[in-house]
Amino acid sequence: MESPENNQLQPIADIDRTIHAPARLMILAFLSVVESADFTFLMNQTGLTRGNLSSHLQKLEGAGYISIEKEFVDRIPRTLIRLTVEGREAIKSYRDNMRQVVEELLN
Amino acid sequence: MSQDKEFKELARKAYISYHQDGLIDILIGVGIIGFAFMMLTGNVVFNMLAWMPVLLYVPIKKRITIPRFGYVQFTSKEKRHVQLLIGLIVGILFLAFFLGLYFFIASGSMPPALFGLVQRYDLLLLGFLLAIPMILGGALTGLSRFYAYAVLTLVIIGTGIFLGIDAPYYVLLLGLAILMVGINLMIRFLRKYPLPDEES
Repeated sequence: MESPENNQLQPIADIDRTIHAPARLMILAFLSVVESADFTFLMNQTGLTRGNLSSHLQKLEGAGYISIEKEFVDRIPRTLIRLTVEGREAIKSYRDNMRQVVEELLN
Repeated sequence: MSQDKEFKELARKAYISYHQDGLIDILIGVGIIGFAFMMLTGNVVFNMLAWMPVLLYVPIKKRITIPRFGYVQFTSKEKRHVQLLIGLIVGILFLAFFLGLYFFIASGSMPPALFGLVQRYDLLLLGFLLAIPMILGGALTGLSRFYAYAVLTLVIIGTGIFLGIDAPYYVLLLGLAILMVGINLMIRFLRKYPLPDEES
């Protein structure tokens, strides 16, 4: 995306679209407050369907914001998802950008 | 409310949902019922029943809660170790206080007036012995119903003493009350979180 002519709109252009989608934002919000969680937990908490959650997780993993590990506990497969350092930083800068956007708009 | 606070609220809600399965309540209720039966019959086998919750909590959580609710680690290993350490210290202090009190009474070094008071209100002491861990449990886990259990413990035991009912019966009533709350929570939890289908 090209830089907007009005510099005041720059924070809007800087918003990370990977995070900005409500479903992905919900996923990241939950992962930011826990150490790790599995697929079922995220599905219950976010209310997303299996397919929907899976596709959003793939996008977030592709962006390097989350890590997905598969492990076996008592011979039962478990998909463990956690936020990466990049993911944590991305959320922080997303929040800062959003705050700036809202402040700019209110002023 | 700042976003940090909102995120913390999110974590708190998820944490509370994780413990809305009623399992801990059921196990505490069974434990107290076991203790009441031991008081009634003098059979120590029931004392084992009172200790069962400690052994059963994790296996049942793994079998009932996690497959339905999902698995989540709320804190890092380091934080969990600190929490465990605090819990251990509090437990040891609690045990030391009551053991100290017991030996103080047993050695006969307690002033007669105080001894008479302890003898008279020994069941109320039992009430505090049950209520204090519940208050600590509420403070450590953030589950407010534990405070209600502490109040219920003191109310039931106080009423039992006032009405002159034999101790095992009101201890049994307390156990049954907590067990009922636990069963009610468990039924609601099972309805809210059915087992995911095989495919998943």
